Amino acid sequence: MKEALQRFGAAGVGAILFGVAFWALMLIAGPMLLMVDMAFHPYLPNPADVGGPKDVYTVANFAKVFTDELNWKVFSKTMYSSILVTIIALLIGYPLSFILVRSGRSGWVGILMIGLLIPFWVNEILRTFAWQLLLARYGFINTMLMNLGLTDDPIAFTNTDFGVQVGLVYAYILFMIFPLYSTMESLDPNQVDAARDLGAPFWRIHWDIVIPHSKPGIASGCIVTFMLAAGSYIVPELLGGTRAIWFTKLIYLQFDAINWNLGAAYAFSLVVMCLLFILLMMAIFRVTLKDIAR
Amino acid sequence: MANDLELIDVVKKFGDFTAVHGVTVTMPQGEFFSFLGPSGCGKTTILRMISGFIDPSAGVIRLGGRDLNGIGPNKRPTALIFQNLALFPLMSVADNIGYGLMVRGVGKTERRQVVDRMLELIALKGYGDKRIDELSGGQKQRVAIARALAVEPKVLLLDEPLSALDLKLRQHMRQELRALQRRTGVTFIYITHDQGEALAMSDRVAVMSQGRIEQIGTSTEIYNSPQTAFVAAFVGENNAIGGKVTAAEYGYGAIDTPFGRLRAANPRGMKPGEEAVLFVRPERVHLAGQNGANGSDNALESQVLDGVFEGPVANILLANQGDARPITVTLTNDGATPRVSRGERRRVAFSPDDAILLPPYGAAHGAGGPA
Repeated sequence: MKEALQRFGAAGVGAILFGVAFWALMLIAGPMLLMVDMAFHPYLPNPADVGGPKDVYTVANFAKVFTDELNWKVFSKTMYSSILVTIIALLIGYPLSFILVRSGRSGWVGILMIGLLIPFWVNEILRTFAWQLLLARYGFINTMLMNLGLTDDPIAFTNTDFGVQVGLVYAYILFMIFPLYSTMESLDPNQVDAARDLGAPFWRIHWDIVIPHSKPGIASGCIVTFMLAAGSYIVPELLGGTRAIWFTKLIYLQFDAINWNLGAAYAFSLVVMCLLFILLMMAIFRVTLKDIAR
Repeated sequence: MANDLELIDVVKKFGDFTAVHGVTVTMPQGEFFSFLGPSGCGKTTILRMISGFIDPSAGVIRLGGRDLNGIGPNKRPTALIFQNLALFPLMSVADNIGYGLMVRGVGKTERRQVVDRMLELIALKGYGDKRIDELSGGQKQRVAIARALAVEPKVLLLDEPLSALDLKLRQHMRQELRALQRRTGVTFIYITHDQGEALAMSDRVAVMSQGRIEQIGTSTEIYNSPQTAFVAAFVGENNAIGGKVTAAEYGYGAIDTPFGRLRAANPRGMKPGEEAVLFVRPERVHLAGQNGANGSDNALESQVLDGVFEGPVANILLANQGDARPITVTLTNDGATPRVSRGERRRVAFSPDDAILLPPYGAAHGAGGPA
C-alpha cells in the first residue's frame, strides 16, 4: 500500500480504488442484488401494482422450483447430469493430464496439447454444431456403427440427455484438464519414483501421492466443469432440442415470458446449488478457497 | 555370498548416445561401493538401471545370482535414496518411514514396531508425528535413509544425497552413513561427483568417465596408484608434466620434459618414444634443500607465480610448461616453512617413487580429460 501511494500518489490510488469498487459493487454485486430482490417479489402483470400493496415479499417463486413437477424434474436432472459430466470429465482428464505431465514437453505431447487446444479456438456454438453432425440420426457415429454391424437401426443420440451429456463433456473438458495439469506439473517426479521404488503398485502411487498432491486442481477442475455444465445454454439447446430440456432453458423461458420474478428465482436457485456444490467439493477434498485459487 | 550384486557388460544407449559402455563390476554383499565421476559420466544411469527405472540396452544385472531384468522397481529388493530425498511432504515422518511396509500390506502394529526401530536407528526417537517440513536438512536426510531401510532392501542405492547439505553437516553425515552401513550390513552403492565423499566412506570406488569405468579400487589404490591420466587428474590434486618417454626398465621410466629429464614409476609399462604424462601429488613435492630431498630425486626449477595460505597447509604455485595448470607444491604449516616470494625462481624436488608415468588423456579411448 505504501509503495502504491509512493508510485501513484493519493489521487492515483483513490482513482484505482474507486474504479475497482465501482466495478465490483455497481456492475457485479448491484445487478445480482436486484435480481435477488426481484426473486422474492410476485410477478405483477400490471405495472401499476409494482410498489403497491400487492408487491410483497414472498418465497412463492422459489417454491415453484420444487413443487412444480416439471420444474423439479428438469432442475434435478440438470444437477445430476452436471455431476455426471463432471465425473466423466475427471475420469478422462485425470489420466490424460498425468500422461501429459509425465511425458515431459517432448514431441508428441506438444502435438497432443495443440490438438486439445485448437478446437477451443473455434466458437462454442460451431463446436456444438459439429457434435450435432457427429451424433445425428444418420451422422458419422451412427453410420459407422451400422457399417460395422453393431446396430441395425440408428441410435438416437440427439434430442436425448445422453447427447447433451456427451456434448457438455467435450465442451468443458479443458477446464478440467488445465487445473489438473498445472497441479500435477508441480509434483516432483521423484515422489512418484520414490513411491514406486518403495514397492507401491500403480494404483497406490496415485491414491497416496498423485491424488493428494493434485487435490486443489481436482477440486477447482470439478467446480468449474460443474458450473459450466449446469449453466450451459447452447449445448442443451443444440443437442437436446425440445426433448432434453436443461434448467437454463426454463430460466430463459421465464424471462422471455416477461415473468422476470420467477426467472430470477430460478436463476438464483441455480446459483445457490452451484455454491453448495463448491462447498461440498471443498469439504470432500479438504481444500480452502486459497488452495483452489492458486 | 548370497546377495552379491553383479553388473556384466552393461550397456545403456539413449538413441545414438551411449551413456554406459559395457560396465562389468561385482559388489559383494555388505560392501560400501561408490561410483565416482563428473556429471554426465553415466553413474546415475547405472544407478537407475540397478534400481529398475530404466532397462539396460545390453548386459545383465544380477543380485544373488538372480537376473533382475524385467523386474520393476517396485518389485526389486533395492531401495533408492534420491538426490532431493523425495520425502512425501503430505505425510508425517512415521508415515514416510512406514510407507514401503504399508504398500506391502504389513499390519499396523508391526509397522509401528519397525518405524519405532528405524527412528531409534537414525536417532530421531519421538519425531514420528512431525511433519517433514518441520525437520532440518540433516534430519530429513536420516528420515530418507530410514524410509529406504525400513523395507529391508538387499542393496541401498544413494544418488548424491549429501549434495544439498552444508559442508559441516556433510562431513558429519559421511561418518553417520558409514556407521549406519556397518551396523545394518546392507550393501550401499553410492553415486557422487565429490571425491572426498567417495574416498572417505567407501570400501571400494569405481572412477567413471564417459560411460566407462576407468579404475576400480580401494580409496588408497585410487589415490596412490591411479591407472589412467583421468583418474590421476580427477581424484585429488595432481601435478601433470607432459613429455616423451626415453627409457623404461625395472618398473621405472624416464621422460624428457621441458624441465629436463625426470624419472617416475612406470606401472603401465610405457615404452621409449611414447608420449606420456608424469603425475606427482603436490604434497609429495618438496622445496629443494628441505628434508627428504636427496641426490636420486627429480629436481626442477621454475618461477613462483603465487602462494596460497590455507591454514594447516600452504600451496606454492610454480609456472608449468606445456600445461596451463601450474605446478603446485603443498607445504605443511609445521613452523619450519620457508618464506617464498612471488617472482623468484625456486628449485623443487620429488622422489621417482612418488611420481607416475601414464598415457595422456584419450590415449585409451576417445578424447578429453576431466573438466
